[in-house]
Amino acid sequence: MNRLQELLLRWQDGVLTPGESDELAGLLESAEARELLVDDFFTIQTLREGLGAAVAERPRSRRWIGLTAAAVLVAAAGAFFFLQRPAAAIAHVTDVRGDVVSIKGVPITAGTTLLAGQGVKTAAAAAATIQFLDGTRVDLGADTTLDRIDSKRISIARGTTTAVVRPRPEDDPMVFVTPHGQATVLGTSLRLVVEKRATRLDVSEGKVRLERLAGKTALVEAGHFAVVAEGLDPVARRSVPAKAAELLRSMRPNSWLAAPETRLRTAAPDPVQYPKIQLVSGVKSVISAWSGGIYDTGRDRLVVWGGGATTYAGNELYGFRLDDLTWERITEPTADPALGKQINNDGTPACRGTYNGLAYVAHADRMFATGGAIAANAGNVGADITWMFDFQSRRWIDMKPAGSRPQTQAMNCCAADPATRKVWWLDGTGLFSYDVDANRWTKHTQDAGFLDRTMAIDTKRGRIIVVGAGEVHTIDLRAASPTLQPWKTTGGDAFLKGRPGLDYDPVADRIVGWAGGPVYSLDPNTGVWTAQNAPGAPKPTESGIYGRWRYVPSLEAFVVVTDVDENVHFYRASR
Amino acid sequence: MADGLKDLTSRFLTERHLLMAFIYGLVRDAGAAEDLFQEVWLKLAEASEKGVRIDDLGKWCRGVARNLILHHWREKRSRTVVADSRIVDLAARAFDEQAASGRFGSSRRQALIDCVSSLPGNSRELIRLKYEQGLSVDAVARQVQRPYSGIMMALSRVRKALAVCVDKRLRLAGEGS
Repeated sequence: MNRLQELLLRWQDGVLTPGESDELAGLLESAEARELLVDDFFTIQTLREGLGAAVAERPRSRRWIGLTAAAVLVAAAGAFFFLQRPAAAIAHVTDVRGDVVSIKGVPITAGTTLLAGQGVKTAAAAAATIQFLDGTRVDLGADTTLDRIDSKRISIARGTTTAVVRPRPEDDPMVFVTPHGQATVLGTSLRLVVEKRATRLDVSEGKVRLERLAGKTALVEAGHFAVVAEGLDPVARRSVPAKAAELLRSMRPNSWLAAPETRLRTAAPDPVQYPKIQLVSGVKSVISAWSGGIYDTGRDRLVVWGGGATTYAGNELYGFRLDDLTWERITEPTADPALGKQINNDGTPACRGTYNGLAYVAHADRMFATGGAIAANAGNVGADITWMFDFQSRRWIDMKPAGSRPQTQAMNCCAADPATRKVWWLDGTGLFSYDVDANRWTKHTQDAGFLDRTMAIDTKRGRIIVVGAGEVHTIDLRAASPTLQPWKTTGGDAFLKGRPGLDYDPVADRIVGWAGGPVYSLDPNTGVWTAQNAPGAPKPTESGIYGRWRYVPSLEAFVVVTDVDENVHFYRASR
Repeated sequence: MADGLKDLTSRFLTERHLLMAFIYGLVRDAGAAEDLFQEVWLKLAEASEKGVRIDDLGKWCRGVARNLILHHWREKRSRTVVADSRIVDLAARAFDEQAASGRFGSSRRQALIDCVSSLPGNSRELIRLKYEQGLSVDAVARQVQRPYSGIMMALSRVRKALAVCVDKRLRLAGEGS
């Protein structure tokens, strides 16, 4: 170690003597030494901020927390500089959209380090993500104020805060404090909406203790919510998307119902502002051009993505929120897409006909997407990038997975299995699985010709049902080597020839599908399809229904959208 | 926000990393550094309102930061001002010289982070203790039960390895060192 480095280290530690300080100043008269000083300061700053952000990607061990507590500095005898314990960084702002500022009003960008006691405010139409060093992630919605953030305590003044809290010991919880109460968390996913008069807590995973200030406490479990306000003690109730629940309240079994004024086109971008994405048909093709969707159970939202080929090049995602029965544009389209290529210059995936190539991966809160017919790609080149859309950060991620990924093309299908935590994929070459946690593809079988199919997972039996081209196949996910097995079912011949939507209803224990006309339900025990005619069904999409037909657990009903100019419909099966 | 200030804010944020490096390197206290950084922005907003012309934003901000740092030190410990101010001036000069070179940009930052992740576990732990936890060399030595001189040497080796790795990555990326 040279003398300059040694002095700089002692400078950082605040233990330079007056003599050493003079010596350092003398050395810094040289240009080379000054360059080294900048390099030193730059490196320290980068390691302080960047390292913390990198560490925040995974949970820290308890030992690290212990070290923080133990980090008490001692002043060296005769120390020249005042020595104090540096305030430790507790979190990093990892994503910023729109105007986000500190409590003092200073702009905040992605990468900003947050120190204990700081606060963050988002403006209207803005959002931010904060990643804590233990891996806990907190998302601020629009017009939200966290007026004080500490490593284990967050004070929320207003707005919407969503958090995925890493598991913590029982005696060391994370606490969210609002003007009306406090939520104590040991590791869970939750959302807090703080308004002037009340705080609403929604829990999507784990348990949260919600306490009214000077009042009673409620234990709120996954799938439940509670409200706390002045004079109102919290009571845990089952979460349901409010407006959809109200709409469906009087819906009878085996009936259809249209949600009024729910056309997707109302959320479409202005074609004048986005001339390059319109191609032949414009936004209509988001649904009409062989495209599907997923159901985001975390937010009770039907998410639709599509277009592609010669029809449309806008890669925006749409979400139909059951809570207020409105469409939203989850992402904006890339205004100048790289036509014919599978990735745009801004790093987002090209618009495509998505077929059945989308799946919601609940444990990761991400949407899987690969394959499909790329916009303006005359050669139909395989879209083989494995994408994940992260709902918390609203960002696309090119996963760059390991293993044998499929040579994807159009007309493929997939489904996410919560038990194996894998996305199962079937295309014209065989059966594959994508291990979400390991970020690895595995090819299981070589099976030619399985194109234009739809999959659903019977979660009770751990079995995939594959429907299409007049056939039914099953895949036993609990087998040591999952393979496709033909299954001779009865009563569904007409249905099996279409391109249906298909999903599993765990309450009725039926695989339920629709491709226009009657709704078909398959008894997994007998292999018998039952057709149920009910009035009020929407006109089906000519190219197929795909993943836009989904089971909604919180309503025990199915939701479907068939056209950008058609209202969203619900179907409730007979029990 | 007025357009002028919006533009200035955007430029200010691109200077953030280097400015924070300057401030933190001198005050060595994350909380104080963040406060001073925010003070610089407030001064900038004030200057913008008054229509002050700012040609070299980075240099202007460092100039403001320099004064704020000295003020901060005066409040903390008045007797050290003379010696400290000399080092602050030399540091400001060093940053002015290097800022113009464009050498300390986002690709160097990313390369550095990537290089840390490629370090062996012990070295990563050392880097974390020193820079993420902000421990002094003495505190690190006590924490890992190694002598002070051993930690100084180890830190020197790790920093050297990082420098080599960063230069290599930047060369491969065609950005040179």
